Parts: sequence; structure tokens; C-alpha cells
Amino acid sequence: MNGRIRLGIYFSGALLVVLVLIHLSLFSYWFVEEGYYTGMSWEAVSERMNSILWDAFYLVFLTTVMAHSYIGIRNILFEYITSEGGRRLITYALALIWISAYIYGLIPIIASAGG
Amino acid sequence: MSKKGRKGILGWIIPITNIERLLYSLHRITGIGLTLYLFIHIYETSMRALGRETWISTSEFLDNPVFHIGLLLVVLAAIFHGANGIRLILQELGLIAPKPTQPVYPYRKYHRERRVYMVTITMLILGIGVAIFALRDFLILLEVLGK
Amino acid sequence: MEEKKVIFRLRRYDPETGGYREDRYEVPVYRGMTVLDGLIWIKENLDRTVSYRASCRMGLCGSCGMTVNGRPTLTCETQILSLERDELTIEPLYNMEPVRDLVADFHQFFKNQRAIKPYLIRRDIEEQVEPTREYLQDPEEWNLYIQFAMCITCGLCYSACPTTATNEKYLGPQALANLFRFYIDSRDEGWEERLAIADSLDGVWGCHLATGCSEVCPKGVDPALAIQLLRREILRKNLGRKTRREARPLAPLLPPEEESPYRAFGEAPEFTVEGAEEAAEKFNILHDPRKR
Ligand code: HEM
Repeated sequence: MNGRIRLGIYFSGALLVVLVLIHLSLFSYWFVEEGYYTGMSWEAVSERMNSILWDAFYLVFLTTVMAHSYIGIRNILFEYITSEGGRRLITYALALIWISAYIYGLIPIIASAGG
Repeated sequence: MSKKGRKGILGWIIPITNIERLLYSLHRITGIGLTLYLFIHIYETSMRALGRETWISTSEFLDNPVFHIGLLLVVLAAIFHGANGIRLILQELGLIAPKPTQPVYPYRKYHRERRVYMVTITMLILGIGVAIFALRDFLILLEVLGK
Repeated sequence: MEEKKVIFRLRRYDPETGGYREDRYEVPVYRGMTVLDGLIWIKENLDRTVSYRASCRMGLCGSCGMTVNGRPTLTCETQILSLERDELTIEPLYNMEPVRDLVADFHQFFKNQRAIKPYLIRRDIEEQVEPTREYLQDPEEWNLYIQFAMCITCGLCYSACPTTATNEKYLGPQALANLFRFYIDSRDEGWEERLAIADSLDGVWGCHLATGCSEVCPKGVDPALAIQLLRREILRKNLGRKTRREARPLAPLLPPEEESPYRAFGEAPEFTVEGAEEAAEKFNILHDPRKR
């Protein structure tokens, strides 16, 4: 099994540092008033999602985090299940789950892209 | 499915011989936790496509202390995973690896001193991250729970 | 002499039932007494059925590794009083198949060690087998690998590693550190195949830098560092950057009138133990490069 796929986790991880910082700051700290996350109301989110820049951000974020977690979880399972066949099964089963989730995640991004 | 003589999944956590060994366990646990949250989060946000009413009712459903505590844990996990992740990226790829030298007795001391500063920096980043992103949420949470 | 009494709780593996049982022994401890001394005292005075493996008693042979109070430890180098406990729990090494009582089976461990080709690989095999000249090496080059050559194959790192706890295919810290030891050796020319062995999820990419291996090593080998450096080399290779330089050229040829002293080495002595020759043949213990 070639292990160089693990390199992907480092590159995506480095990218995620920036992306997660931006993502966290949206609903933490700056957007808390009185009660809870005013930055997360329907209107506030709509406003963000209408901007092409934010759409691009979410697309990159989603792609990166999906790749990162796919490699991560696959790697954990590979350490537990070590037979060739088992590992092949993991690779494809996880790919199926992750691609479906990716498509699901694309829905709000695409839905808002038109305005 | 523990193989003969091997510790199995328990062996991912023990023996705890040093602090990086503990950070390893936490990194793995937060990684799995974040992935689980990611899937829930994707499901939750995809509700937007179903329109304002569904979205708001989902938001209202999620607006209770249990989910708020859960969310705070997720934020803490993300900050830890990120801070430790930066350390791992730098160290695991050998980007800041020192040149090997002949070990000098006492050997154990010699290793510790080399790596402990990286752990210290990680803890610092972690502290700053918590102070910026989670502390205020935590205080607000306490207030909400107090009411 | 005696300073205090310490309870030894031995978690003994029983191959007949396949389970563990715990026996308690009270051991009078004097200053300077090691955990291994304690075990020897138990065997001589209390219970002759206790099995453990040990040989040199001075941290050279690497036989007496055991798990003491949940930490992989070289028992001959650990003084009981330095642990500052009234009770010691001693188990066989983790992540290896137990044989009996405190003895662990190193089968997989040494299989991994063989898999990384722990010998100098040279392109000119004839010259290696029938040497005419010396290999050159200066202290700086020696410094690069001597740390990893200190390994006594005691197996503590393998036992402390989280990846080996579930992945029996993982080469383990010891084998990877040894691989790097040969990779970086200025006399070695097998860097391509060495990197190919290391570049796998069951090689260097199985490591997550828990550094338990380096922590428990009694000899100051830093397997975690070796793995990091191997990864850097693999990364460099994939980016088309410079990796390890070429091996140093051999010493200049002696003038023909001076007979090379290397020719003077005699044949290896005859085997004296029955079956040893077949075993040597099977595992190529003599590492005759022509038989690889
Ligand atoms: C904030 C930025 C992040 C950074 C810098 C980062 C970095 C890393 C690194 C370097 C690893 C490899 C660890 C190792 O070698 O053991 C890793 C593993 C992992 N990460 Fe992240 N990560 C980040 C965010 C995330 C997020 C948001 C998720 C979840 C969706 C995630 C899920 C995982 C998983 C499941 C693993 C595998 C854990 C393991 O092998 O033990 N990471 N991360």
C-alpha cells in the first residue's frame, strides 16, 4: 500500500488552519450578541451565500475538509484492518460514503449560487 | 479482533509514556469526533435548500443547552486538533528535524529537551485559540445555563 | 544492606490456558538493586517456575525488556529504588505474542528487522565479497548514523508504539530506525530500494509521532527522528529535490607489490551446532550478497 496519500493530510491540514479560523470566527466571538450567534440567522447566512466569494470559500473548504477526513479515517481503519481485501473494501466503501456526503454538502452552496 | 499479544485499540491509548503519546490519542479522538460532527453539520446545513421554514425549525430544534455544550466541545476539539496539527505538520515531515548526533548519557533527558519546546508552543497556540474562540462562548453558556 | 521490601506483582502468561495469572512476591531491596536482580532473587529464593528472559545484565544484549508499571523498561538498567514504588507490576512486553510468564516472542520483530535489509548494499557485489580496498568514512559521516546504530534490538520501542498495537504489518520504530541507519551510511548504495521499503503506510507513513519509542529507548536511539528524516527524504525525492548524495568512492587501489591485507582474512569457521548451517542458509545470516 503506497503511503504517500498521507501527504495529502498534511497539505490539506495546512490549508484547513486558515479555513477553519475563518469558519470559526463567523459564529464565534464577533457575532455573539446578547444571546446567540446572530451571524447565523437566515438573513445573515443568505447574505453571505449570495456572494460568489463566499461560495468559493465554502467550495474550497468543503473539498479540503472532505479529502482530509477521508484520508484520516481511512488511515485509522487501515491500521486496524490489515488484510489486502479488507483494505480495498475500506477504500471503496469510504469513498462511496464520502462522495455522497460531498454531494449533499454541495447542495446549499449550489442552491444559493443562483441568488 | 485483537491479534495475539497485541494490545488492540486499547494500545492506541496505553502505555502513556510521554506527553506526545497523550497528544496522539487526543488528536485521533478529536479527528474522529470532528468527522462525525462534519457529517451532522453537512446534513444540518443542507436543510437550507428546503427553504426558510425548515431551516428555522431546525435551528430552533438545535437551540438547547445540550447542543450548545456539544457545539462548544466541537469548537474546543477543532482548536486542539488545529494547534496540534500544526506541530505535526512541521515535525512529521521532518521540516524542523535536527541533525542526528551521537547520544550522550543520560539518553532520555537528551530526547526530551529536543522536543519539549514544540509541545510548549502547541500548548501556547492552544491557549490563545481557546481564549479567542471558546472562552467567551463558555462564559455565555454558563450564563444561559444559570438562568 | 536491605532498604525496604517491595512487592513484585508478576502478570504471568500461561500458554496452556492462554490466559494471565497474577502472582505476588515480596522482595527485599538493597540500594542499586535492579528490577532484573529482583526477578533473579525471586527465582532463586521463592519460585523457581518464574520464566523471564535475560542475559548480560548490563544493557548490552537487549533480552530483558519487560513492561514495568505499564511502561516498557529494560529491567537490568532500572533500579528498583529509583522507581519509588512499593509495588511493581511486571508484564511481558506489549504488542508481541507472549510465550510464557514474562517472555515475549520476537518473531515478528526480527522478521521486520530482516525485511529492511540490515546490511550494506553495494552495486559492485564482487568487490564487496572479495574486497581489494577500504571503504572511506569520516567522523562527520559516522555521526549521521551512529545514533541509530546504538540499537540493541530490545523491542521496547515496538512495545510502546501505538501503531504496532493493531497493525502487525507495520515495520515498527526499530526496523525503520535501522533502515535509516543504513540509508544514511556513506558506504551504502541501496538508497533507492531502502526508500521504496520505507515509503508505505506500513512503513514510515504509519507513524503518528507519539514518540513513545524514543521515550522508552534505553540507548538514546531516536526512532521518531529517523522516521521524520526518512519522510523528508521521500518528500524531497517526490519533489525532484536532492536526496542522499552518492556513496563515497573507495580508497585508492594499493600498488600491486603491496598485498591487500583484506585478502588475508580466512574462511568462516565450521558450524558446530546441528541445523545451524541450514538456518544460516535459509535466512542468509552471513548476508552473502550474491545469494540475495
Ligand atoms: C484545523 C486545521 C486542521 C489541521 C491543521 C489538521 C491537521 C491534521 C494532521 C497533521 C493530521 C495527521 C495526524 C497524524 O499524523 O496522526 C490530521 C489527522 C486527522 N484529521 Fe485533521 N486537521 C485539521 C482539521 C481537521 C478537521 C476539521 C477534521 C474533521 C472533519 C479533521 C479530521 C482528521 C482526522 C479524522 C484525522 C486522522 C486522525 C488520525 O490519524 O489519528 N481534521 N489532521
